[in-house]
Formats: sequence, C-alpha cells, structure tokens
Amino acid sequence: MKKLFIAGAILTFISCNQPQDKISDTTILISNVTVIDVTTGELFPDMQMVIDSGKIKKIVTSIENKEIYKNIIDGQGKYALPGLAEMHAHIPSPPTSKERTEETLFLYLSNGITTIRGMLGHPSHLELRKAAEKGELLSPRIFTSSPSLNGNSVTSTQEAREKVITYKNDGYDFLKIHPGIKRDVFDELVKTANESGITFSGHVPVDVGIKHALESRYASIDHVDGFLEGLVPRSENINPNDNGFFGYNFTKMADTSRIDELVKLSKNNKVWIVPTQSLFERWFAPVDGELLLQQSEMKYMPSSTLSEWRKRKEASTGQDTNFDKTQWETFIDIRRKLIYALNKTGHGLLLGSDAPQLFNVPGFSIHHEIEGLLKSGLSPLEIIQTGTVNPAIFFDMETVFGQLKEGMTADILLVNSNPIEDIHALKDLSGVMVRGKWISKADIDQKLQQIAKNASAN
Amino acid sequence: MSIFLKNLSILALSLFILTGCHENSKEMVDLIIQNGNIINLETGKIEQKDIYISNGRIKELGNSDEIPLYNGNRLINAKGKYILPGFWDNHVHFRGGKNLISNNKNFLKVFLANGITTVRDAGGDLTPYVMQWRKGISEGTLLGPDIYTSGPKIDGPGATWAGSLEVENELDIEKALDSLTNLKTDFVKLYDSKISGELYLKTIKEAENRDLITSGHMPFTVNLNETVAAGIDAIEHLYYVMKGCSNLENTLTKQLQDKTIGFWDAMPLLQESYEKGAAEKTFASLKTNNIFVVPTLHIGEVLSYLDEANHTEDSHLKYLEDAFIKTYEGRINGALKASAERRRDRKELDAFFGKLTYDLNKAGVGLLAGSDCGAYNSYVYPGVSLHKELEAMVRVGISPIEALRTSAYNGSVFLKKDNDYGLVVKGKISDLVILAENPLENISNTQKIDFVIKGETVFNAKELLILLKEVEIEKKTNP
Repeated sequence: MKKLFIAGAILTFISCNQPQDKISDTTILISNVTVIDVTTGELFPDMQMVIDSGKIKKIVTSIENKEIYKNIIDGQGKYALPGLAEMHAHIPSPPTSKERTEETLFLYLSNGITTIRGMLGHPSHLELRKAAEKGELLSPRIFTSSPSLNGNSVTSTQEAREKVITYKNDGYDFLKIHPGIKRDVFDELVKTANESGITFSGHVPVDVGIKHALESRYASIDHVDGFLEGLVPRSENINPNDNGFFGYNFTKMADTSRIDELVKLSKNNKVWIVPTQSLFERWFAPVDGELLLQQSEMKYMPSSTLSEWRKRKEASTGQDTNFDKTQWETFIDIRRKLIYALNKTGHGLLLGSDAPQLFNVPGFSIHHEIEGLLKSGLSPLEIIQTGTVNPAIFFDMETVFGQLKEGMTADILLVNSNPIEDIHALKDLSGVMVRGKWISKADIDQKLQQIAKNASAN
Repeated sequence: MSIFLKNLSILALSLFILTGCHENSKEMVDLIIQNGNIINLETGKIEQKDIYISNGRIKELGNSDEIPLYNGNRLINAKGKYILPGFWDNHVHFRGGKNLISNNKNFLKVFLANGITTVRDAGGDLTPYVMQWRKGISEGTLLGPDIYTSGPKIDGPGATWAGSLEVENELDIEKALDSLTNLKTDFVKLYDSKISGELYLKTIKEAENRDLITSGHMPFTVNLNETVAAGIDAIEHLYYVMKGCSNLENTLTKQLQDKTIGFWDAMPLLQESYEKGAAEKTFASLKTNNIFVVPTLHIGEVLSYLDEANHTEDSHLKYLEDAFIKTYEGRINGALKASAERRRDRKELDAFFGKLTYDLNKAGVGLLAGSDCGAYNSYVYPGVSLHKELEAMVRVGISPIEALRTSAYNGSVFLKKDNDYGLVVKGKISDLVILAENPLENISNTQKIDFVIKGETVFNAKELLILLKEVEIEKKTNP
C-alpha cells in the first residue's frame, strides 16, 4: 500500500514526456540532477529540469534533442533543492552605501538564500523590493517589515493606529514589534492590524507576555522571545522587567514541564517561531569572541562592524557581566527543548539567524542557525523544511516558491552531496539559481573576493 | 533583534536614527476601506474600489491597485468582502405603551447589529420618545439607525391603534396634518380601521397639496384607482393591491360598503377574481405614478402559520421583555381561534401574495423591503426580520440584486433622501455594511456581516456582538 502511494506521488511529480516545445536562447536545462522533494525527503535521481522565464517549465526523466539547449548545467552527481529563506534578515538602510547594500544582498544569495524577510524596515527597502521583483537587482526575493514599533515609537493607542495604517498604506509587508509596548497600546495595534489586513511579527513586549502574545496571533514570534519567561511559575513572584537577555535571568526559575502548554497555545493560534538560535550559540554563549572573529566569513564585514561586535560581546558575556557558563548551559538547554517541541508539536519553525547581528555574516550565518537547530534535535529534512516549504506556507505562496515543481519560480540551490543525509552539504554548493538566473560557484567566488576586498577597505 | 538588556531608550533612539522619522504628508481621513467589492444597487455591477470616509460621508473612491489617496485613522481591509449601503427596514413600529419604552429603545442596537442603518417607523404610540432617540442618534449621543417616522397614524374615530390621530370630519384633516407638520414627521401614514373612505381620500389629497409624502393601508370601501388618483406615494401590504387586480373590485367594494361582507370575507373572493388584465392595468398605474408597494411577505408568512409553527425556542426572543412578548398573544389567539376554513384561506392568500409580489416586480413597480416588526406583530423580530423579508422576496422569484434594491436604494428614493443614501458613491452618507460573502449569489449572505459603518462609527463583528449582548434580556429561569 505504501509503495503504491509513493508510485502515485512520483507520477504526479513527474509529467510525461511531451513533444518538444520551442527552445528559446534563454532556456536553461539542468541535466541528470537528483531532485529533492523537500516535503517528504524523497529523491528523484537523473531528472531533467527545464527553466525558462524565471520558472521551472518541466521536470522530466528524459528529454529529446538535448543538443538544442544552448544553456546546460550539468547536474550529474548533484542535488537540487529549493533556495533557502533567511526569515530574520536585516537589509542595510541609509547611510549604508548602495554598493554595500547590494553586496549584502549578494552575500545572502552566495549561500543559497533566495528569499529574505527584512526585520527592520525602511522606505528604501520598498524600492529594493520592487527592483528585485522586476529583476533589475540581483537579490533574493524581499519581504520587508515596517519600521520598528516599540515602547518609544508607539506610546498611545492613537499613535498605534496611525502608525499601523500608515505603514500598511506605505506598502510594508508586515509590522515589526519591538519591546516596550504597553498592553493597551498593543491591543489597539493588533486590532488595527487585523482590520487593515497587515500581519505583525517580532518581539514579545514584557507588558504583553507570551500567552497574550500567542492569543493575539503574531504571524511569527522571533528569537523564541517571551517563552522562557512564560515557564516561570506565578509563585516565583518575579518582576517581569528583570528578565535580562531573553529571560536569561529567570533561567533557574523556569519550569520546563510548562513547555507543552505554551507549545500547544502556539499551535492553536498558528504562530510560527523563528529561533535565531545562532545568537545564543555564538554571541550570548561561552565562546571566545576572538575565535569567532577569525572565521573566514568575517572578511566580508567591514572592520568597523567587527570591532563593534567584539565590544558588544564583551559587554554582554565578559568579566564584568552576570554571564555564567553553568547558567548558560541550563538556559541553552531550555531553549533547545523549546525549539524541538515548537517544531514537533507547535505550529512550526522558520529558518532565521538574525543577520547581520553579532557574528552573523549575512548568508553565512544561516549555517550557524542550521547548526543550532541540529543541536536542538531537528533532522536535516526538518531543518530544510524550515527554510523552504514553511516560509512559503507562511507567506501563503506555496504555489510560488518553497518546492521544486513545474510552474513554480526557479529558485534553486544545487549542492554537491545529499543534504538529507548530511545537512552540511548545504555549505558545499555548486551554484544558485534565483528566479531563473544562474549564479555558478565560480561567479560566486569571484564576487565574494571583490566583496572581501571592499570590506577590508572600510 | 538589537534589543539588549534593559536599555530600551537608548535602543529606540538608535532605531530612530537608523530609520529616520516617518514624515507623512498625506491628508488624514477618518476611515479607509480597501479592496472591497462594492455592489452598485443601481446597476448590479460589482467593482473593486477603496473607499475614503470623512465626517460621516464618502469623501472619495479610489482604485485599489493604486497608491492610497489619503491616510486614515482606521483602515479596514475588505479584500474578498462585499460592500453595500447599510440596510433600510422600510416598515417598523416603535410602540406598545410606556411599559415598553426601554425595550423599544434597545431595538435600536439590534437594528444596527443587523446592518440596518435606517428604519422607517410606520407609526405608533411612542412618538415623543422616537423623536428624542432620533435627536440623540443624529447628535452622536445614542447608538442606533437613522429614524424616519410618520409619527402617529391617521385613522378614524375609535381607531385600533393607540396614539392615532382620529379624523372624523374635514377640519380634523387639517388639524391632523398641522399636528404632524409641527412634530416634523417625515411622512403621513394612513390606517384603515375606522376612517371613512371619503375622508381617507381627502386626507391623501390634502397631504399631497402640502407636499407631504403619504403611505398607507386603504379602507376596503375605496377602490385602489381612487387612492392612486388621490396621490398616495406608497401602499403598505398587498391586500389593497390585490383588490385593484380583481375584475370584481367594483361589485365587492359595493358589498363592503353595504357591510354584506367584511374584510376577511373579501380575501378569497378577491383572490379568485384576480384577473390578468385588471392586474396589468393596476401595475401600470402604480408604475406610472411612482407608487411604491411594501409587500411585507415575511410577516405575512409568519402570521399565516401561527397555528402551526412553534416559536418558543426562537433565539431572538432573548431581546424581548416578557411584557413585549405578551403583546404577541392577540394575534396568536386570533389564529388559534379562527375556523379551519379561514386558516386555510390565510395560507392560500400567503402563497398568492408571493406570486403577486413577483408580478409587481416584473411589471416594474417599485417595492420597499419592510418587516413590520414591533409590538403586537407576533414573532417578527426587529433586525433579523428585514433579512427574512429579503429572503422571502428572493424565494418568490425576485433576483437578489432587485431584492437588495428594495431596501436602502428604493427606501431613500421613496423618502426623497436619495441625495444622501442608497449608493456607495462619492458624497453620500457613509452608512455601509461589509459582508463576508456575496449576497448576489445567496441573499442569506446579508446576514454574514463583518462590519457595519454608521456615519462616523465603525462596528466590527465583535463590537456588533457586544451591541447585542448589551440588550439581551435576562430571563428569570424557573426553578
């Protein structure tokens, strides 16, 4: 019975060979490639993928008249999967130069990221989004948040209403929530957002609290914010404002038997979670900052940024802080448990590292995030799903991207070994296709060299 | 992320520097409704537009695919939803005596919660209160629909309904109309229980001379064409129209004048003598004279089946006080006491009225959707009964768009308020309903209300439920 079902799935996945269509000069054939179905983890070896006008035209077992294709990418021995999404990205804003902004967008692409969700919006991002959409800018697909809504930017219900509506009309994809918003202001914000048809994501203000946040139906809660605080029993009589770094100060009081309740609440309210675990495994972790700064990807960041990172890490985990390795171990263990449970029985996770936050080089940091999810107990397939099909569902664009299917956008990551077996395969890519435009490994390396050179000059 | 430890103020400051202050140069409006499917009641066409509302009026309509024209204090995304003028119930009654003032007042919220933004009060005994409510509503101190009222009905001596103005001679006509003018009522409602045929017709003529709008029943001792000739503007209920469609109208009128038969005896006879030619002539005359007809089909059905239907579990009873429900007893007892033959006649008449309504509409006679809800009118509940009326119209074969037209659109034309109401276009008063589904596909979708906009006030689905909750009557449960 099971085999029958699989056979059926293959039939729907692969269309029959049909008479040859006309081949244009821009048509690309990826030949003899193993296609990964990221919804099931199934492999379809030796497939021929035809790409044209930015879309996947065909995925077939064999193709006639191969010689008429002018652009062939040899997929022999390689694995194709949908391009990844970085769901907690930051897009540079002025005064960052246009060149550096475009370089940053390329850094995402260079790691197979074909969709980014910018988490701190600026009017300039609306222009970038449009340019990317039109193909005038080599960039991942862009979604952008509004400018920050926080305790200082929205102080009254009236202000909340005005800002939400203004941002909606300006064309931002969603609202970014930062800490400090009072509960009544938050409620007005939620009501206005719901009515006006714009979603909201981000932090959980202390005055709101995780339960009310989940019930208010964030589109996504990022950093797993507010959850650890939510594990502290009322009997502890804590001052919620003493939570420290994402609840770190409450670590010892957190009762992990309460995880299920919060996870269930997030499932019932359909709230996605973006862990950004990379931050907690690197920046806010008993790891030597100097070692991190020696990693090869750091050369793509301006030295001014790197020295800022060094300073800020010292200020948060250095000698003069209350950072304690043992407490961190408990803290990270709770976070991993939360992440595991939120993926397993919650509404689900979205892959997002928070770049370029401390030690997160855009694009490259996705692999640290993947490592964090792996340590939390997710399987490679589950991790890939958080960066492909889950984001597509999140944006209600399942038919547009997130899988390799005929008719969908040609956002393709081509890697040299099977990432379902070993997720580190994602680091060893042979090229990236973004909306039908192919960027080979050689192109990537060449451009990265230039970016490193420009960064060192700053 | 960026938020580190507790130093929010420094962080927020840096965010401002990072993102810059958001300058907003666009003019503000009170409300924007984006991407909704606007139903044009005139043409039946559906168009996607953005609606900009300010000071209780539609300021502008904009294209949904273009950059918004204004910024707003409230924004509703109506994508996939359907927008049309707020409903008009063109026949309600606020009445029942002093004991029922507060219950009647509560109905104002029930109407709003059902998307009804205007009611036409066809007469009762609470006129001073109705005037007070109307003032409160227009000044924004009371929630409720706009009320257009006839004030007291005009009838004869010893009239059936409390509070009626009794006309016994020609001088009484002047006095009655003077009194209505002083009250600043919106139209003249005539009733047929006691007034003589002659004075009835004279009252209409005098009211028309004074440029007043008239509507009414019609004494059966009068012929329909006489009433039309006198200048009546709307005919409430179908009995009188049916009379005009009989080829025996003259003969039966004579018998009614001689009192050899009564009103209910005449019904089956008129029904039997319905004649196509006579009907067509009557329809043409109603149409030419722009006379509206208020079929009140739903109440007709409810009252025709009082002897069979069980209403004890009706959920809308929860908005009625016991004393209000008590007013239902008269008609219920009447129905139960009626002979088997009369009960059968009544049901046949009900079916006949359905067909008559269809024919009237087909002939191009303007119809008004009115529920006739109010005290004494058993189980015809304020609010929902207007929707039942629309359903009843569609059930007899009228298209949903035509049925919808009989509510706000025809209602405002009849009362000469169509400069302000009836269409979702620039300049009109912003009384709107936003429906979750298309009422042109299924008329029952008028009850799937997501938002009601009453001028400057917006109610979302949750707030509409609160309106209802506020006026629910707490019933004492028997131990």
